[in-house]
Amino acid sequence: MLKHGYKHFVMGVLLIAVAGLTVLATPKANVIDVTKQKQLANIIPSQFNDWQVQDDLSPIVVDPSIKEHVDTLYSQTLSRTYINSQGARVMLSIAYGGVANKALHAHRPEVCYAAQGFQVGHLYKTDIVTPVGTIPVMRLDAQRGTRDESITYWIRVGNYLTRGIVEQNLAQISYGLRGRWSDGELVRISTINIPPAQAAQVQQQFISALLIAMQPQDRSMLIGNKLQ
Amino acid sequence: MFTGAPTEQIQLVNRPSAVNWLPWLPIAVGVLLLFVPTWYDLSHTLWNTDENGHGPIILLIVIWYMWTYRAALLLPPSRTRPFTGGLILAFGLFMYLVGRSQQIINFETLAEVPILLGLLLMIQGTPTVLKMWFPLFFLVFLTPIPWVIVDVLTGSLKHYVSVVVTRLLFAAGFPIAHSGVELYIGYYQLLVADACSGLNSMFSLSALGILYMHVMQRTSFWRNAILLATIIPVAFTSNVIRVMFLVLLTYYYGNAVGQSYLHQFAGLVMFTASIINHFMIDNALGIPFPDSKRDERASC
Repeated sequence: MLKHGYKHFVMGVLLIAVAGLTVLATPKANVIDVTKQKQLANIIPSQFNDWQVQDDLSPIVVDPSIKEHVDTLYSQTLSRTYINSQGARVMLSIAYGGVANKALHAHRPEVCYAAQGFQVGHLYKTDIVTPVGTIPVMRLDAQRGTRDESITYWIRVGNYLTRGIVEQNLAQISYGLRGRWSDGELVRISTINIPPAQAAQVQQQFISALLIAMQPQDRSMLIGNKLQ
Repeated sequence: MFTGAPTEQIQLVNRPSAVNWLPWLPIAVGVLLLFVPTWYDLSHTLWNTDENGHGPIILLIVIWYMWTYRAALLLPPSRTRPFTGGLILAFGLFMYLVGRSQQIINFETLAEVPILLGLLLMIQGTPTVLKMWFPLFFLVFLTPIPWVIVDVLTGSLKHYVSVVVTRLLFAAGFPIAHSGVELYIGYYQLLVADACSGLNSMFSLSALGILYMHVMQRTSFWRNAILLATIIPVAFTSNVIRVMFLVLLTYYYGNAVGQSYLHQFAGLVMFTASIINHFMIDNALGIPFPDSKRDERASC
């Protein structure tokens, strides 16, 4: 009977030890002081180079239930449509979450567009060369009815730029193992009804012009500080 | 597999007293220290969502059945598996440690199964595990479905639901069509949202199906096998019924009504449909595969 109880005791101690170890292993500090983050609307210029915001167009008609969901997930969002002198339109959509891990799961564009009834095709990883550095991005096409959208996005996790769920999780875990949380941000650029090759070019020009126009210290909000 | 008889009375020589339970105290403390923070976090996050709202009910059922079978914990240890049990426990604890510290909630929650299983195998042995199999297995349903699986399955399920609902209502003479996951009925355009794919409800309805089987304790192998095989089709059918209910509600009474409290009510319709389906299938199966004679036991 005594031996029997001894086994229980050892097991109990083991469990309590693991509970304690878990508390110690849980990251406490955020990589970035989230409270010091600036408002996206203030750091992203509404007019730069040849581009300016077109106010009368909402980038995407959002279903109210999705909007509510998005508002609970993200601490800041920004949605704008820009137009240049040639009449090319680019939609910029940024969703920022103070904590990367939960927030950005739901809204990778390949999932989000499909959820809203788009046919998603031609998903691939590539790089965009800009004057401030090379940005790894994911490209995809989404089509619904007469709307043919070319989308480019990246997900910033702390200072890493990632594409897709695997890269994103690896970045988070690499912070987690060093005892840090990271913030997370989805940056999405898209164009409607422009042939893919041309769309890629317009988007590349747009991103380059935007990054150059931004204050250098604010760029890290979009692309982290690893590129410079 | 489902024909075991966990409700069979466990005969104890002595009535269990507080003293018999004393050795379990350190383990109870350890288990609660590990699990309660997880449940607490879940109750403030995922359990408040439509997708994982079934969580607390699953937890209550697990606790209820563990309490019901608690006498198995006082059986004299026999056929203990220190090595296998130890490995399973170590795996569970590792999964918990990584899951909780890195906020991978699925690992953290699922870890509860191997932790308890390993502990019971090491301390009490196989007979106790067999008595406790149902709550241990049911604990799996506490795990939120991983995003990766949700992403892969939701899209195709939504598509199937749209197709089936459109075909059925069209055959019934309604002016309905669909394009992908958008449904058009009368003047209305409805989007089959992720929640309507029924993936999460399939998960909770499967739990309900397993619970039904456990409560019913059918003795015929084939009856149980067929019941088990029909769990997922029944869950799918119930969800189709739910979506049809919502589509018709919108068609007859407008969008405001379709999205009102009746939207929630549709969930009840689905659960009721599911239970009725199981009940009908079970009773139909009772004709070719009746239960073998056994003593009527008072249900727990």
